[in-house]
Amino acid sequence: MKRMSKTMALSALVPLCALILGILVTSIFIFLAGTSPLSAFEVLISGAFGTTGKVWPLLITLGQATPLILTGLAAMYSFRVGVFCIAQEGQYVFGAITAAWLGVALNLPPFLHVLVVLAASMVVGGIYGLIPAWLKVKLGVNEIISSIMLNSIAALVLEYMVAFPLRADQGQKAQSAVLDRAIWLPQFVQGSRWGISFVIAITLVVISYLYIWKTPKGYELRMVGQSARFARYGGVKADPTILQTLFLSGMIAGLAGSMEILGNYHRIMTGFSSGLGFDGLSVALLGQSHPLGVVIVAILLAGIRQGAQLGLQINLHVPRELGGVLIAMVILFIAAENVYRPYLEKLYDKIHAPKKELDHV
Amino acid sequence: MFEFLSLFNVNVINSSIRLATPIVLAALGAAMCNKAGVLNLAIDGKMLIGAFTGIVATYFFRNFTQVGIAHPILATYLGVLTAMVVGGLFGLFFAWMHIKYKVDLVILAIAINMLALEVTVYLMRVLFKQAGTWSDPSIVQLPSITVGWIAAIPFFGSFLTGYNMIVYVSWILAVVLSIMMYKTRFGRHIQAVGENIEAAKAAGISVQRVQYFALVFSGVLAGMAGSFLSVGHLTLFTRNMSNGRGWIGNAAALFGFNSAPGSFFAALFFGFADGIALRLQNVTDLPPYIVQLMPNILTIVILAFVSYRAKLRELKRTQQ
Amino acid sequence: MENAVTFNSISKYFASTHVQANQDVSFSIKKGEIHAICGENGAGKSTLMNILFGIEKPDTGTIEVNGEICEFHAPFDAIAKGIGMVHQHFKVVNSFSVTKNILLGIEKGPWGFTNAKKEREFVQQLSEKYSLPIDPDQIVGTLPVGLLQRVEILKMLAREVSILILDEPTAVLTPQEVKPFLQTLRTLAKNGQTILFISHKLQEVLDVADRVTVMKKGSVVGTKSTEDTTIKELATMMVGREVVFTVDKEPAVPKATVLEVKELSVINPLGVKVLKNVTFQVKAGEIYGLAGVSGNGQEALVSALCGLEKASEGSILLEGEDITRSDVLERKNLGLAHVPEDRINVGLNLQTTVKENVLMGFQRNKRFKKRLFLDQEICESHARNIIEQYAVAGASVNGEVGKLSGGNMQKIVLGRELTSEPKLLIVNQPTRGLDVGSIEFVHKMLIQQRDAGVAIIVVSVELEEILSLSDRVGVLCAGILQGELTGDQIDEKNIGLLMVGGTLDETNE
Repeated sequence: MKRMSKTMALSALVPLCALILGILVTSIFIFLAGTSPLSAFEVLISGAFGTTGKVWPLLITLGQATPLILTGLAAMYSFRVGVFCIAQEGQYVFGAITAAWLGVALNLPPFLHVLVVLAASMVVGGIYGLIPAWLKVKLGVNEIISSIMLNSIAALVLEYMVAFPLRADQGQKAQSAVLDRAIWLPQFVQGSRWGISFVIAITLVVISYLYIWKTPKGYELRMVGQSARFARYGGVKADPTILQTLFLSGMIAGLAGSMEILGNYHRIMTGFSSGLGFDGLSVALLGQSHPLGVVIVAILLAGIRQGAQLGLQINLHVPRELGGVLIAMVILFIAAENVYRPYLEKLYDKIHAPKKELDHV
Repeated sequence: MFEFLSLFNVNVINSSIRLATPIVLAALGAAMCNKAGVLNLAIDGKMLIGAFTGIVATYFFRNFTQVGIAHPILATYLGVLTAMVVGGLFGLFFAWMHIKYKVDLVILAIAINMLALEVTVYLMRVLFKQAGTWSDPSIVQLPSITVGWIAAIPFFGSFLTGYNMIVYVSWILAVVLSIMMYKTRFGRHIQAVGENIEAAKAAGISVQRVQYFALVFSGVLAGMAGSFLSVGHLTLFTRNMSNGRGWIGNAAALFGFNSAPGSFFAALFFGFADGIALRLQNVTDLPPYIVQLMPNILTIVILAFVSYRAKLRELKRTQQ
Repeated sequence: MENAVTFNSISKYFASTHVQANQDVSFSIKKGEIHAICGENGAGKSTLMNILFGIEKPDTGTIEVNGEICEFHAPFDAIAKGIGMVHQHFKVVNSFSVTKNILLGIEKGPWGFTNAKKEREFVQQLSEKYSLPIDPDQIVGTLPVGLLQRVEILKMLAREVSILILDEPTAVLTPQEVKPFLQTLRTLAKNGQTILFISHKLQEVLDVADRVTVMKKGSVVGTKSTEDTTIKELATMMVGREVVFTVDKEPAVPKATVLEVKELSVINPLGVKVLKNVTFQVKAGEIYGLAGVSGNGQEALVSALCGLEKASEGSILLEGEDITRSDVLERKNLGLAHVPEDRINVGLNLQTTVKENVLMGFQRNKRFKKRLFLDQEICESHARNIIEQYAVAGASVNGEVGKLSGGNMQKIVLGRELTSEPKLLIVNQPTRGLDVGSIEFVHKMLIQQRDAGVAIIVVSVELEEILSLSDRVGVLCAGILQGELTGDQIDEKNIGLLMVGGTLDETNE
């Protein structure tokens, strides 16, 4: 019992320690910008999770977290089946392109229109997810490198689509036409970006948890991820499982892109994704590939980005890239947990050792 | 019928070789790491860091040191050297983390790639108050060196000379590494470590030394490749300047089966794909995005081919 | 005679696994002798050898080599003192030639460069000197196991060692390779090498060693001269009680045919026909032993029977039903169970719990489902039943399988496969790497299942195992079922003949 609680305490302590170390190192960069780290983090936090003003920053953060939760969930599926696919960004972009195109091109009753658009972008995202999976399973292509290439391809296709086929006017900015209001996904508070998509994302998180840990198919998925030969021996068809799971993962990322278009931007423009899909990967990594972790980390990361943009850059003129620096630092320290883990263990033992003696007395 | 030949002229070949140089350096480093069994997926990030430190150091030496004020070109060479040292230090950090603390190299690489992208822009904004691109008129580009007797060789001469130092270094390295891998003890030790760590250890080879060398070496090369972008090819720094070249270098290493000559020619091939794409953009109406897609798609197609062959090879080995 | 190595009260404790691997071990090895070290798995033999070779450091105690107290920090130090070790799992670089492997780390050539010609000559001279013939240019990945071992031995001899440690050298060899190997050991000893070898095959030990030291639970039980001891005595020393070497069993009472294989062929992914027109039957209540040198089609046959690999021709009938095209789960549901050769990578998933390991293969079974979900309670009680019924020591429902010993891991695999009450049980190398106690247990289990009316196929490269368990024996050679033996025909001579491609008719002549 004692041992169990120790491992549990450490699995919470390690990310916390990584966060603190990340903040410390990032403070050096804030100094460089000529600002006091304390006030910077204060501004960052209030810009991220504040509950004041017409539209609460917290709600905007929740809105921003929505696509992150979904791309994080998508990455989680991929990791769980043992494939390190990081093409969520590409899937997300393709989902968005599909939504922006079909949202204008089709003429259907609104409710049906939304469903068709969402379904179509999920299929497109799923197919894009199948590419690295198929390449890995059939040909043995390293999925990390193919994913990176697929992400670049998606970014270039996006530039092409908004510059030519989908371009609305010959104005300065390359962007598509605005969608009809009837198919916009509702937001709970106008201007917060926090809306029905968030509810859908959370629902998917719960379903994913149940699917992966409580159903036969989820069991097979995890076994393929942990030991493909064991799974094959036990009658699990590993290759189809990987393909199905990556299709599912692509669908979720595609849905994220689609809901951003329908619920948030209402059109697609150049530079639309700006690395959001890559954040999905970080979310899954930091969230220990667990749905609950994904939600918590997604909100945290969205908050950091949001606070860096709305708080730091606007109020203190600290560049918003600081948010990204902080996130990268936290990932770095999570990766490097072996360096400080022994100290944490010692610390834990020290705190608990005197108690033990008391127990004996 | 031979219209497409007009695509190739001396300019295209020269520019292709220049475009290939950072990929060559990345690929040589990646191949070395793969041979030594330490997957290095942070080359792109290290290249970006190299590009930034290269130009910043050049700027510093040019304007704030006696030597630089007197000899602007020397300042640029010092900038390149600084980028190499910084790249090497990042490689050292990687090696230390992986060998001493068993840190996962893939996750570490993801963190470093992301950090490089964000930190360079952040520092550009903080130090130079620029958001997208930074340049300074005082910075002198790495000079091109034309060797007279090579240029005099008919037909080939014009392709083989007229580049800056880094291009020549990348060629020399390809040759030196080829010899090292196949003709020296250390080269053999690297191969042994990459193929079977236990066998190498049992034979008394210091696995750590080999892995440290590979990671530091590829870091130095990535730093040099980065400085080639910012002070060799152009004299400016832009956000995400490496733009996936490091990753293409990784792919080229795999394409060349991780051998030094193989990765060198694979990287050249990618450089030519880039060069021809640029040329196509000039002489045809194709939208630039479509042309830019080609190296990416090519990478995937080639990887598919190469991986399938490697997979069959592995199968053959295990079935015996 | 002088002593080559003396252990002075060596102790070693592994804190991470709470194992006292060596406890006050003292004995000595004479110069030029062949000294065997015997003991069950976990007796501490390998740890002791690792200490001697500098891989591990002892907590207390000293080692004397040629009368001099030595302290080794790494294998490098041990080699410098003339101690070489050949590990059970060969440490070779497959893509390198024999020469490059032998000289890895001690390459010949000036200024860091290598000189291919010089190296080749050196290896040729070495192989002649010790009469261990080998082709210096052959790529090591293409060598058979016996020659690989020779490469490893030459690698040590090239480093001019005088004391050679061999960790279970015969475990990887086929029966035909063992005899010449033992001859090699004698030759080496004659040439002045001191040889220390670990084994738990007692017959071998008596055949080749001069003296033998038996270890148990980290301590030395005793050292005997092989001239004054017997297998029985050594076994009793090892286990601490009398061991039954022959498996007690009644004659089989075969009933209806369960498995019928007709003209079965398998083509591997490289297009090679690895199994050629194999036909045989297995009846309920009998054990069908499948013998053969490893790599002669056993893998393909087992994979084809279990549905892991496609049959290119022929058919498989289970209780009259054609299952040639069925997948793994369908065959499982029809009553086929399979204990695979590699229990660590294939039979189990060491990263997860006992509960999830024993679910494999039944995850889609109605019994374990509650509507769309897995019924956690039933899964847990299923795991608990297996742990209790097979007395799996140290296991708990939600505990990791990876922490169990080899024997207990095999119990989990057997338990899982037997709870489905199979009609046909295929076991591949069921006791590989297990200690004497666990082997006894597994063999008893198999006989018990046979008597309960299960049709059993035992695939093994251990002749003794085939001989003691089988009611009928089939022998595979180069993908062909070379012959079948029943009753009195089953003996070492006949099986050996079929294994190398001979026919029984020749023996009758």
